[in-house]
Amino acid sequence: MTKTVNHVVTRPGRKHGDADVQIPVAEDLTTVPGIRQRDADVSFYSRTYPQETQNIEKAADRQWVWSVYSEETLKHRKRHDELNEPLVDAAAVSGDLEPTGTPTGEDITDAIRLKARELGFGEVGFTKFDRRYTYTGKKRWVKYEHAICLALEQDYVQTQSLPSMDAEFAHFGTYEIEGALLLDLADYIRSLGYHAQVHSPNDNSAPYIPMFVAAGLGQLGANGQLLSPHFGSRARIAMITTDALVTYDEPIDYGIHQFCQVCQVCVNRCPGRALLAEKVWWRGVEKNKLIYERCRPVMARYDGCAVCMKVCPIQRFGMPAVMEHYVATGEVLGKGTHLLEGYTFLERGYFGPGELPQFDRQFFEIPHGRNEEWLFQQFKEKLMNEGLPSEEEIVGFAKQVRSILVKGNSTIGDE
Amino acid sequence: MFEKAQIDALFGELDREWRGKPEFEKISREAHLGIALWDAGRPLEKIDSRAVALIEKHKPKG
Repeated sequence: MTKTVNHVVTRPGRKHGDADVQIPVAEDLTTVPGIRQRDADVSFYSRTYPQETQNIEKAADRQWVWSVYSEETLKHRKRHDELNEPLVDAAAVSGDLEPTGTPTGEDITDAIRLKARELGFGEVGFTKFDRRYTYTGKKRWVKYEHAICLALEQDYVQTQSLPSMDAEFAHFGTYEIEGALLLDLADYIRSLGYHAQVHSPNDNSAPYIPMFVAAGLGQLGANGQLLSPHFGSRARIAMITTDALVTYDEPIDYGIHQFCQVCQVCVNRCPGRALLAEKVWWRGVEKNKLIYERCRPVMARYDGCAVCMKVCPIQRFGMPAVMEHYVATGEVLGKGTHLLEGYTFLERGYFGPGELPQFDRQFFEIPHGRNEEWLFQQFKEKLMNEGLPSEEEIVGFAKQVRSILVKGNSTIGDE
Repeated sequence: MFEKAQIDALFGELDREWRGKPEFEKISREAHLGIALWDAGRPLEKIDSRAVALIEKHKPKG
C-alpha cells in the first residue's frame, strides 16, 4: 500500500564528493525531530542518578569476558588494545594542548565539516555538549562546550558476515583508524586557533548517541544504536569538543522512531532476547530499552554477536532505499527474508527467519556490577551457603578488595 | 524468496570474481539491495547491472 510522504530529508552523500541523497519520510512514520524526551526528567535523573561508564559500572562482566573469549578473539583483542592504547592516551590529554594558529573570528563550522569529510568521517554534526549526560568520572575532564559529532563507517562486506572474526576485525580496526583521525582533526582545529578535546570512542565521556541525535545525524534505533542515513549502526562514533565559533545543527525526524516499531527485525532476531518490542520511558527519554544482562553473555561467547546490527535494514540497505520502499509498498525492505534475517552462529549452525538459538538459564549467569560489588556478592553467597569463613578466607577477601581499590577504576574499554 | 543456498552461491561467485577489485564493495552493496528488492517483487532498474546479472543467475527457479 502506497504511503503519503510527510516530508523529505536531504543529506550529504555517503562519502565526500558524493551527491546529496533524499529520504522520503512517510506520514505514518512521522513523530518528532530527534527523540521524544521530557527535558525536566533528563535533568532530574542526571542530577539525582548521574551515569557512569559501563567500563566501571559493568566492570565485573567486562573482566569476565576475557575468560570466555575464543583463542582467536583473545589474541586479536590484546593486539587491538596494544595498538589503541597510545591513541586513547593522546585523546585523554588533547584538551590541554594550546592552539597553534590564530583565530580569524569567523565561524569555522564549514571548515571543520569539510576537513572531517575529507578525512573520511561519513557523518559530521555540531551541537552543544550536553553535560547532563557526562559520566561521573569525566565531569571535571570535559573542557569545552561545543560538540562535534563524528561517525566513521565500518567496512560493509566484513560487517555482513556477523557474527564472525572478520566482522570483529572491522569493528576493532575501525576504532584504530578513528582514534588517529580524531587526533588529526583536533590538530586541524588547533591550527585554526582554537582548543580541541578528543572524546575517544574507547574512553567515552558520556553516552554519545543523544548528542548525535541532537546534531541531526540519525535517530535511536530499537537495537539501542544510532541509525544514521547511510550506514545505520555500522559506524563507530566519537566526538571532539571545542571552544571554536561554530553553528549548531538541528535534530531531524527521519521516521526511525516509528519505523522501528513497524520493523522489529532486530527485536525478533536477537539471539539473547535482549531487545524489547515496546518503548519505555527511561531517564526522560522514550526508547526501546536493551536488557544488558541478556546481551552480554551472547556477545562475549559469539564473536561480538551484533546480530542486531546485521539484520537492521537501515544498516544493510541504507535509509534512502528502505524509506523509498516503505513509501512505495508500506512494507519493510528485507523483512522475513533469509537475506536480511538469516545468520550463522558458530557451531550452532544457521538460523533462518523465525528460528533462534536456545540457551539455558545458566548461560546468562555472569558476574555483574562493579568489581567490588561482585566480590561482595560472592562473599555474601559464601556466608549464606557455607557459614562463617576462615580467617584465611577473610584475609584473602580483604586483599582482593584492597587490590581493586588500589588499582582504581578504568574508564577505558569498548563501550 | 532467495534461500540460504542461493544467497551463498551468489555471494560466493561475487567474492571469487570481484574481491580485491575496486568495485567489490559497490557490487556487494548492490547485490544485497537487489536481492531484497527481488524478494519484494520490485523492479531492479536502479541496481548495478553486474549485481543484476548475479541475481538473474542465482535467483530461485520457477
